[in-house]
Amino acid sequence: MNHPKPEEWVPYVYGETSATARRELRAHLRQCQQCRDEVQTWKRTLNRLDSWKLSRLRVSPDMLFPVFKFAAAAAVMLAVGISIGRATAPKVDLNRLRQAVAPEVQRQVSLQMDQMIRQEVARTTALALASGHRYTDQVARELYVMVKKDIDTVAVNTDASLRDTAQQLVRLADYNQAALSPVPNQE
Amino acid sequence: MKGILTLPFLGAKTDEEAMCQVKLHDDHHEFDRLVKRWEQPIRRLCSRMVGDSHRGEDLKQDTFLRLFEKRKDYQPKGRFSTFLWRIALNLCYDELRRQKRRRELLNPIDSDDNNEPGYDPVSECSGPDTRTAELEEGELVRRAVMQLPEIYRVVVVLRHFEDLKLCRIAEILEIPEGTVNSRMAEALVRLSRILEPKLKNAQDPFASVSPLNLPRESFVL
Repeated sequence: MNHPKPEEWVPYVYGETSATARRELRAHLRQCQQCRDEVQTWKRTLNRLDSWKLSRLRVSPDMLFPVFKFAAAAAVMLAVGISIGRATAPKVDLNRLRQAVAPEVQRQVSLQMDQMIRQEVARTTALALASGHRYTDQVARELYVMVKKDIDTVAVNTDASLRDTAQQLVRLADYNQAALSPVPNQE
Repeated sequence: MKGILTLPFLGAKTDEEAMCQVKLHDDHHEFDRLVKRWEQPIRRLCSRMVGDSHRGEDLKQDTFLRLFEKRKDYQPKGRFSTFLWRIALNLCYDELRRQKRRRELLNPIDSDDNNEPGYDPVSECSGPDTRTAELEEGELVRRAVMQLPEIYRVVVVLRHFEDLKLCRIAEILEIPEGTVNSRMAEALVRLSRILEPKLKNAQDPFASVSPLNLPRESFVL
């Protein structure tokens, strides 16, 4: 069998052959196990070549330059804006301003302090009351449990004593009856 | 804004027109555009030719420097990409030659063996990171490609990794298309010979001791 030359398979593997050549090569592949194996090996090798990945690109200063350019422009504009604002702002007499503002600030502060103190007192009271209630309830529950246990104990003891007494009475009655009954005649 | 105005559908210049502008008027804007468009393919080509991404990055910079230096040599009738690929490849060949000379100076006794196909020029100078990655398939492939002589490696890199047609490769390398095909076939034979057993072993570490893989004679007592 005439095998195609190895270089003829290269355009075939990459799909660059003419339609006629492709048909012929395909027909040969159907008949020839040896060429089929060879082409399969090449295809496997080509697939494996893709596993060689290049490491990630270092970011060059050139690539950062546009970003840096815009950032620098923004910083300059910001600085200019702040400078203009400061330069054109009217001068302020601090003492006069303080005198004008002080009474109002004091009034506001005392109001807020008053409000805060009231809120704090209300909160503390509520907390004390709530904890008092809780304590009372707890004590009452404990007392109830204690008294109930004592009463139960007394009841049980009383019950036992009554049973004893009843038994003693029955025994006493039997004894009395035996003593009073006439002695049967021996004759 | 300028980027939007130079979109292709709004009539941006072709690479050839841009290069003519660079050649005739030293147009830095057009040169910058060419660099942006071509820096990735050139970086990939250089990295794969020398087997080292960092060196590839340096060679990419050198390529564009050389392009600007040689701008007056550009012939408008030829493709710009062919001109650029050739500059990059020549720089890669220079670099590989320098590496080889350095190796010969360091190991004068072994220098004769270095031209043999089985010699791996990169594994020797690779660092500990490369050695730990020895079993990775990507690393095996890189080493296999680096073992190919330059004439085969360049064809594999241009055809497989840069996806250039075989006829374009012939044009860039200034050789007949049949030669490109035969070099590619030889490259594939060599790569298969290197990779097939290595990858088989890497995938199945017990393959070598499996009774199924023992030669038939080993069963004969």
